[in-house]
Amino acid sequence: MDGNSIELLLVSDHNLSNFASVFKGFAGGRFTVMMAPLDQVVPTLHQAHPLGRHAMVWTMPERVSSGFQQARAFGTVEAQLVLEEVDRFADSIRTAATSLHTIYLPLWQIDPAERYGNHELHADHGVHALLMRMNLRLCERVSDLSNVHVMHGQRWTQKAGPGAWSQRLWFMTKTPFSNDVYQAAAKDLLALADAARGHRVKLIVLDLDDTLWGGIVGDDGWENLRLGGHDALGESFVTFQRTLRSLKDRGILLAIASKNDHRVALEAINNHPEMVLKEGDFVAMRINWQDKAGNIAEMVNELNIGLSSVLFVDDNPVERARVKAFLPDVMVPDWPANKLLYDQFIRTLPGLDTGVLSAEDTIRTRLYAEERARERSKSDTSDVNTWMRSLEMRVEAGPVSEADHVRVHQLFGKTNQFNLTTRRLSDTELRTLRAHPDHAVWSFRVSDRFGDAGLTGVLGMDLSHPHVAVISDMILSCRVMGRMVEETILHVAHGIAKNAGRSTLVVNYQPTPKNRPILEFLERSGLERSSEHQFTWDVAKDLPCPDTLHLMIPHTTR
Amino acid sequence: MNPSENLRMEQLIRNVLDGMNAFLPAAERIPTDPSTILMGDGGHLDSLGIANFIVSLEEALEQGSGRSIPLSDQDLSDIFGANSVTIRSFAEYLSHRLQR
Repeated sequence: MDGNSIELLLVSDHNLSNFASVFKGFAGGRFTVMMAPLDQVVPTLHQAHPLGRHAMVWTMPERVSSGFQQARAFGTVEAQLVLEEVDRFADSIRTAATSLHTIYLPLWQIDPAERYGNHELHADHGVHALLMRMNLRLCERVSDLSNVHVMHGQRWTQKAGPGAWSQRLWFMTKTPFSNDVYQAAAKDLLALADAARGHRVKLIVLDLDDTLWGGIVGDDGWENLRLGGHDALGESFVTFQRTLRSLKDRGILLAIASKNDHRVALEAINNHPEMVLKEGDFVAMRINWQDKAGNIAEMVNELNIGLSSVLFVDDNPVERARVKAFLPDVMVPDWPANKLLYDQFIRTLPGLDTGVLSAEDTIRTRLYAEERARERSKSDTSDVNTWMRSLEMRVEAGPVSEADHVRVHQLFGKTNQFNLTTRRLSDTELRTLRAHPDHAVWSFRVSDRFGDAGLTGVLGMDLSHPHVAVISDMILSCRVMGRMVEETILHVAHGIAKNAGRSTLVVNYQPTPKNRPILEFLERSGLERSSEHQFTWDVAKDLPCPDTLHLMIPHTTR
Repeated sequence: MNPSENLRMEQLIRNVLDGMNAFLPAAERIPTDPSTILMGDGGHLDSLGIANFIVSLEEALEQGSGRSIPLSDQDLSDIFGANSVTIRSFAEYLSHRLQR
């Protein structure tokens, strides 16, 4: 298995070999696909799994519940007994979730074409109703597990059409579905797995004319744009904008790249009564006659976001081709020519999954606006240290509490640039680490006179060695990079090592294609470089806290 | 023996294999020239591959001719004996079946 490849175990009570081939074709080398022994679902779920392994558990409802099998054979069953079988299966999933990094769990299905009489949807004894209840029960029983993703498999069979279910393949090979179903499933699984690893859309860059509204504002005037009203096209643009605003409320940033007169476009945004998105909903705007690829690159640089986290939406295929060619990492979907389909289309795109919502997600646009205000004040201040002091920064550090857990887990999963090892801990792995007596996991909250950036830093320390304290994790959100919080984290790490009686502080850097910023920080930090990827510090020597900020550590943890 | 029907069946088989190849990683794709051995000694299809191929071919034949031509219930090894089955020989067999 290559070092960057994720191990994916396929656990099933039917033949998933076709799915495995299709998935490998899509995923390339990103996943190492392994098959658990056929029809050994429960024993496989109860075995110990190596660290970092993902699993897809795809079962048939009649193999999990004998009661459901009986119902499907037109027998009479107690729904309660079927649900108890679901509970037992869910318990096995819960057990597996303690050792697997992530579990993907497609919902149960039977061919909807199967008819079970007039009462097939009867709440007590209808077969199709019973299946709905089984699925709902399964969702309920695993919904508190952040590393279990229930997948909507009906979307795959619907997409594959009437040939989705193959009785021929079933009887010949115990493969229930056609490859069209597996293709849709593979795409969904890849998108989910990428999102679970932090690869998701963080910024949507939008064109304006015929993208956010119908018409050309410079030609038609904002009063004549097709937006809202008793007009199918106008209504579709409002619906599309509402969806974008919902995505913004879930932490995805919005920006504008439009070839327009800046004043004219802003007039439309601010004055049109049907505009759902307001000027303040956008973290950046480039409304000018410059090249869009250059404008996007500038905004991305300004926002400190990786290009691979950017989605570009433009109705103009020429602009899309230009951005695709010059910024190949940016996601540029072939946007539908029919404007009525914009909303439906964006809802089907992968990578817009925001996972578990944290408090920071809901206010991210505001946080970036505050950052822009900070940058403006920076340009007014000649000396950087003077500027830093003028921010009146406060850093609050302490062991990760239960209330901080979700945000810390997010930072482990999403941070790429300032991340010492980029190890993606599952929820369970993080809990285990936090509870371990020889490990310390601290969080860092940053605020200043412009606002509260929230929980933006994480420090993990391994104190299991008698003389050495190892910094195992050092993570900082790009929102506060370059503001001496990095030095503050090192200062705190030094304090923890000193309090634990260790003589040497060690930092082991694991390079990735994206985490060069943390290496550059370590190189200028003053730590001694003991090897290419290792830095050390003699704990007897002081590692001072920057004097440009105020560090607060609760007394109980000093 | 109907050469034009044989060629039509060869094309049908190639289409089916193209459809299967679309889902396979590059290293596992099946060549589609007429001499490609599908089954038997040196065959490119394993048991699951044969099942996938037969099912896809049955569907393609149904769509193409409007007739149901079950192949699944045929013991292909009986038909072809110990010989290897190539795209060409399988096309000839199909052509013969369609004329029945």
